[in-house]
Formats: sequence, C-alpha cells, structure tokens
Amino acid sequence: MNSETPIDQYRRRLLGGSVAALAGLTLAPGVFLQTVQARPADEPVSDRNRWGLLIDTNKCADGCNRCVTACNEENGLKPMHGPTTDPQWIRIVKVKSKSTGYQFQMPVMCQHCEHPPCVDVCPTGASFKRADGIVLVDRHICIGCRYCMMACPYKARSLVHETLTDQKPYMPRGKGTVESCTLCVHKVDRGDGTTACAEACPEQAILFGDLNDSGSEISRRLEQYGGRQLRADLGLNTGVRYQGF
Amino acid sequence: MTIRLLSRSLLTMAILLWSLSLSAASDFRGPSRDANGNVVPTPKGEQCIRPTDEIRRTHPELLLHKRDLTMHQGIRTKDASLKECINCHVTPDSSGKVARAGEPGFFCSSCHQSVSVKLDCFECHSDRPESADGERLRQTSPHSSGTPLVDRLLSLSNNPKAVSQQKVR
Repeated sequence: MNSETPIDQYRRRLLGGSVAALAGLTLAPGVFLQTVQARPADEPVSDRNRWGLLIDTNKCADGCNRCVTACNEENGLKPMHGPTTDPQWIRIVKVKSKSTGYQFQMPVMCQHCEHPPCVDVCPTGASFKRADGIVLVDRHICIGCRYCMMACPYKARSLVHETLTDQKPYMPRGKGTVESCTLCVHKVDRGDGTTACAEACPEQAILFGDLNDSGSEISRRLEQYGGRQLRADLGLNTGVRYQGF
Repeated sequence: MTIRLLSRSLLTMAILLWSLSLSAASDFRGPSRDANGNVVPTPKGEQCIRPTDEIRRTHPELLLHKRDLTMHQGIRTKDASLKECINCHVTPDSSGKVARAGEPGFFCSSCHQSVSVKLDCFECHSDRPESADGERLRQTSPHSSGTPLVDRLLSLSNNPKAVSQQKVR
C-alpha cells in the first residue's frame, strides 16, 4: 500500500510544516493580518501591492544617519576605499534655502518609480521593475555598463568596484554589478512589513507600506496630509514620497 | 571444478552487493570522497530534494529556473534554493573547520574542480549557511521569545525600539 519513496515522504513532511505555519498566521490577531500582507512563498508577487515609503522631513533629525547605517548593516555594505567608490543605497541630502537660511536634511534612496528610467536604458534587461513596484537589478544579467546610473535622476545607484566577501545570505552582491535600494525585498517577501531604515529611524520619519491598499497607514497619511515626489515634473510616479517641505 | 566456479561466482556477487550497498549509503551518510579523493562534507539533512543521480545531472537547470523565479517573481520556496543547498551541504569537517568556496573541502568545489567547470556563484552569493545571521537577528530583538511570529507581532504592535528612543530624548 505504502508506495511512497523516501523523497515523497520527505516532501510530505516539508509541506505539512508549511501548512501548519500558515494555520498559525490565520490564528494571529486581526491587526497582524491587516498590517502584513502575508503572501505564500510559492505565490508570485502581483500588482495588487505597490510598495513604497513615506518620509517626513520634519521628523528627520539634523545630523542623524541611523537609516544609512541600518541599511548598510542589513545589506552587508561595508566601507572599502572611500566615498567616491563605496556603494551607497541611502544618501542624506542636506537642503538649504539661500534666501531664508532654513535648512533640513532628508534620506534619498532609489525612488522605485512606476516608469523607471534605469529600466528604459538597460541594454541587457538586468534592471527591472517587479510587479509589486520594487525596482531591482538582476545581477545575473547585469554587465556593469552603468547606463542606469547615468539615467537615474536621483543618483540612487552604485557600482560595486571591489571584490566582496562574506555577503549576507539573503542579499547577494558582487563586483562589477550595479545595485541600489531594494526596499529590503527579502524582508518584504518574508512579510516583515517594514524596511531596515524604517525600523531604525528613532523619529519614525520613514514609513513603509502599500500604496495600493487604501486602508494602509501610508495611504491614510498620504490622503490626509498629501505627499510630494522628488522631481515630480519628470512624471515617473515614484514609490517614495516626502512630506514636510 | 564446478563447486569452485560456483563458490567464486557467489563470492563475486556478495562483494558486488556489499559495494553497492556501501555506495548507496555513502550518498547521504558519513564523509564521502569524490573522484579526486577530496573529502566531501556530510550534509545536515537526511535526504536530498531529488535522487542523487538526478540532482547531479539537473542541478544547474534547477538552480537557474529557481533563480529567475525568485529574482523576478519573488518566489522564495525552499525547493531548489541555492541558500538551502548551502544551509544543508556546507558543514564543518572533522576538525570543525568550514571550507570556503573554491577550497577542495567545499561541497560544490569538490566536484566542480574534478570536472573543470568554473563556479562563479560565490562571487556574489554567500558560501556560508544563514544560521549565524538568523541567530544575530533573534538576539537583538528586545522581546525575543524564540518564536519569530510572536516577535514580529510584538514589534508591529508597539514598536519598542522607537518608544525607547523617544524616552532617551
């Protein structure tokens, strides 16, 4: 009767485990289900979600760069040979009004455009936008030509100049390929519902969420207070929005 | 004459059966050696995701297919995931040392070197199991209860890190 091979039994055990884990998810309190759009690991991402960030520059504390260090730590970016060649996924941009002297700072990373110029110019198809709006580089295909770096109006991308070792298992990175903020795609896929920079910000100036979900915190805050895109005139419809300036 | 022939053939058959059972057992258990005599690390799991002869032939296609699914569609199942291969197959040798990619004792290198197929996965991908990072993440969670789901719920409901920071200020 039992015609299962050891492999079938092994697979059955694996499947059983994942079903039990899913059952655990549905038993969790409603707030959890509402906040984290848990997607089964075998289901492709879809355009039901559009992930984005909302950054409040009023809350962004002068001189703080905790989001940058958290990003570097999370994704395994280490200082190598100085700022001219070191990859940088988030930059702290300081803005000062010449007439009034008013100044503030804000983090600028890949803006995860709906119509990304980096994808338009990529000659190999390595630069692409996922269905859920996250713009990524497929390093398997990237040839390091850096057209995307030139096309990006936000200066968001970096080329890896050095041979790397001890990369994070969830964030493969290597010499000769271009990279930028992935919106912590490994965390998004895991259902964490946040990014390393948003978690690290002591002032909670960065909010991660689903722009397509009208009930999400990010959508409600955008509806209530509005939000600006950097270089909105380019019509790129960015996934990262700013408030406070 | 016939008795001697019979006993010899019986002996040959016994040796054949014994060696067959040995090779079958060495697929998953105990340190085995490749064609060059390199020690291949013992995997952690009890069973590979595919039968040995199949995985030896098809692992490049499996990994390539999974690579595109993960990269472009965000499908992160454990089956045919390079990360899971590493988690299972990269283990310490008898002296407790874990070989790095490219070294003879590294699981992939042991075979790839003998067939002269260059392996460039590990120029980008980690050649280490992910457990070390997982442990680090759990330790930093202030409300760690050992259950990732509970941790996640807690961190979402009352973001303890942000609250403690506000108190400091």
